[in-house]
Amino acid sequence: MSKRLLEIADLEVTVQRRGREITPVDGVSLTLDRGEILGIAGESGSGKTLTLRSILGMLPHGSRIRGDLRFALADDPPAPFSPDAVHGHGISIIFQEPMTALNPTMRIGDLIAEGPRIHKGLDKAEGRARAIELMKLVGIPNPERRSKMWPHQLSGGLRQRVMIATALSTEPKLVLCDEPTTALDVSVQDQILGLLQDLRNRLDMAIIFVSHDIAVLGELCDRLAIMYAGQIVEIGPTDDVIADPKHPYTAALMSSVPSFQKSEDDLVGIPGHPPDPESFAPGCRFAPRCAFAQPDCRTAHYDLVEVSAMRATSCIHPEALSPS
Amino acid sequence: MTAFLDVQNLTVEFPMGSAIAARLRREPQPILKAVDSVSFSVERGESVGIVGESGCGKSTIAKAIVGLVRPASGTIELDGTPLTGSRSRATQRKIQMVFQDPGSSLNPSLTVERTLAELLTIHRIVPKEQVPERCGELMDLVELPRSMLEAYPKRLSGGQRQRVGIARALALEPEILIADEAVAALDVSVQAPILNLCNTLRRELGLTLLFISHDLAVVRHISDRVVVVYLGTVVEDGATEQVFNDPRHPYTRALIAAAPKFGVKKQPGKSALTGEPPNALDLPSGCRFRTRCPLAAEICSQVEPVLSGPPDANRAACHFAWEESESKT
Amino acid sequence: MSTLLPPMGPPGIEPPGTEGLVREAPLDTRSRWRRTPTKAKIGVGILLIYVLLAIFAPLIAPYDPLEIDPGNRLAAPTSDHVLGTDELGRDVLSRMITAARVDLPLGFLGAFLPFLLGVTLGALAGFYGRWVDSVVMRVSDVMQAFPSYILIIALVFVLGQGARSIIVAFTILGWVAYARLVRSEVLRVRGLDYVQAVRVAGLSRLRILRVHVLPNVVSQALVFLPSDIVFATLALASFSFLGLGIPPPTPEWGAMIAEGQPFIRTNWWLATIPGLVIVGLGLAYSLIGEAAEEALQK
Repeated sequence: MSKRLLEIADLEVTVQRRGREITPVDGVSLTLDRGEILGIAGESGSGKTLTLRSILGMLPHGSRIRGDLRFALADDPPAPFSPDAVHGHGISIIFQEPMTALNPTMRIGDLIAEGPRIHKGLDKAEGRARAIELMKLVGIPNPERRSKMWPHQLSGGLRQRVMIATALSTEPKLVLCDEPTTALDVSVQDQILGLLQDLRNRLDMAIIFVSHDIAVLGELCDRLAIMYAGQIVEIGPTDDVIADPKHPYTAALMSSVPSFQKSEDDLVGIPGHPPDPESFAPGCRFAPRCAFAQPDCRTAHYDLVEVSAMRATSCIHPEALSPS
Repeated sequence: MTAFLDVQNLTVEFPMGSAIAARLRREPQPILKAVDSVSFSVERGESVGIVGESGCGKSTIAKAIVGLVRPASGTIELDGTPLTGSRSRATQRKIQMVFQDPGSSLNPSLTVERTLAELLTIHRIVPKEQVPERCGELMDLVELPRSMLEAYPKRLSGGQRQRVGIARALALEPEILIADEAVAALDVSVQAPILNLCNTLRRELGLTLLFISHDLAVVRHISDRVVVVYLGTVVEDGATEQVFNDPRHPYTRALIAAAPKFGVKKQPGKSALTGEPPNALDLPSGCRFRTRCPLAAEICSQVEPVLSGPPDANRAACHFAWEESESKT
Repeated sequence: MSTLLPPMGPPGIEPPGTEGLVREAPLDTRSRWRRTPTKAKIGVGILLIYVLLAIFAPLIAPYDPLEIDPGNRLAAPTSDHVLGTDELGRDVLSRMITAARVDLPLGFLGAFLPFLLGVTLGALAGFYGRWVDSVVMRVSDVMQAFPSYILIIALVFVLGQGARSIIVAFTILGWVAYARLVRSEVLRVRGLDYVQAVRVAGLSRLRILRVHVLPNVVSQALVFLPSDIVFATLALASFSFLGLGIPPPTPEWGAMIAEGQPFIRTNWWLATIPGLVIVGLGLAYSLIGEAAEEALQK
């Protein structure tokens, strides 16, 4: 069985926005191994959400995907796949808003049992039993009673757990998480993150976790990819990327986040704002806001280059960061 | 020294459900005590952070202070003068607010200049001829180009709109600025300059800042003192560094432990705070945190703890706050 | 591999993942005139033609529209009478043009007055709430429950036939839709931060309503107005057709359709042409309304 679970090469996503075509994701490449947790960090307009959704083809009307996506079904090595074949058969997804992601007209037990019943042909009783089993797995108290309840009767944290249970119901090897804890309180977020870690350990499940919250990603992920303006600008082991960034955007991001530890330094933001896909700068897209930009940055072609084992950056002058 | 802003036993209630339905059932209408006897004070020029999770009442406290919501009981005093439900325009000016959602914080049918000019004119901050210049000065203050005065809000980014929101609040030259989750909806790289701006303004204008947030890291960065709120009550209150380094209330400890921190990996399966907050309409007897508290004991269900602590230290509302050998979890 | 994906989500909505972006589209620097969409230009153009015809009717109409000529009844179109004559020998073309002086303003007022009344009541109800809201809402419930045609007939009976009773009737019935529309918008806007902000800034309630709430709630009602004008014009025509509208001999398109109906086999144009004219007006208003709606979407 190959260790490699997912391979994405040169992913490009084009969407329609108010009659115009824009390319918010442009040339994303990454790999994922079984049981690995990969984080994708980025701010608005970075393309991180679209990248995630494109894996399962969940894009708006009129969108196009280009690129090479391969996923390892069963024990085979990664191969091209169709979203329908894998959604519910190896890849599941969890969304940000538990409010809207759960069908309000279905009871919790039925919601969770739906996947197994459709994909594995369980009958009603088996489905119920599996749902309760999953609810225990994700730590929902009183699963028997709760399985008969409606989504609106549960709190945000519980709804998120239900979503996780639903995602797990088809025994996926990969769970895509689109800001699943952003709308939750800190204490609930803590519980959910602990749960995800626990599940990864027990079920050898891989996770791609998309978030704008660097601290959360730092806590949870093995590897971290930083996206800006539709491209991955840096990728590597989480701790290394955070402590020793090789791209000015990463560095700037790290110093704009109020960290729990140091409260003395002034936060350094990034002047300007994330660019709109219709007006991406030529060459390096971060150059207009980059403190270290040099003339050749404006004409540089995007390329994710390995700078050391497991670490890559798209910056052509990463040495500029070393003195600081 | 009397505090600049003194909140004493502030209580805000919201009736829930339909009044008519309750009447028909011959039951009293359920009342939600969003804020229950909250007391704290703020010195002039100080920056105080009010933290808590969603639904804890921190926003309601802010709204009561600024006059958007009427307290059921308790007092709010500004510089010794009580603030009543109906305030004069002059009093109203003194406390202003910056709101959370940049998408709805500006009137879409007014240009930035008109938004600012309206306040300057109605309150006669400056004579009419000087209004345009003052608008320009406000833009300088929030580090926005003056050319942006002609723009409508829909052309501005979230960060720019928040700055305009700050400019609007400052137009009335308030003494206290309340920021209600003012940076929560912004990108991280955009939050930082806004936070820095708040700090700078505080220093340069001598503003008193009340920062409402659920984000502990942000609060730690910007506040001198911290007030921790849980289910409508203050559970801890003290200097920021003291509260963060030596939290005395189990809830504060749990919050700090739960907050993601750079360079600290998550322990699988372990969480700082278990369970869910109890129903606000049906609070537990005694200490309302006891259902989730690792230290809960007999006394906790019988006697509601009071905010207390030795001088020069944080105050905490817990029977065991100051027992020795309490280690941080 | 390049795939065209199955549709998901309604078109025209921001794709997920692109929220928060600042649209730095280059500022449209064309002149006001060139920026106006073609749809609106055509609609206004057509409307303008109608309005000009109405204004200059006495000068343009070849004959006196009321002048009877019993000897020349139901004549076919000739160079003399371009659209022929009606059953009383009156020149159809002159009556057509002159009728615009009735149909245009009445159709407009029949929608605009309800608009004014409805927006005002809806805004007051939504903004001040409590008993104002209750009263307005209950009255509107009653109005809605009432069978409208009965009410109009009753009003016409009481006030007599003529323009005034029609307008009164339309206003009494028509305000409800606008009031509801505006009220729900006001309720939505009331809770928004920018309204809270000016409350905190100590502005008077009236000013808040006028400057901060109203401009942001009328847009939907304004978009509805053109189609309502079309309804009103058609309703007016229907009432004249039923004999409840403008009393003869004043020319009015609906009445002309009624008068021409018995002769549909022989002089089909007597009933059809006024109908087409009404359709043309409706088209103009529809185009304007659509253009307004699209402009507001941006």
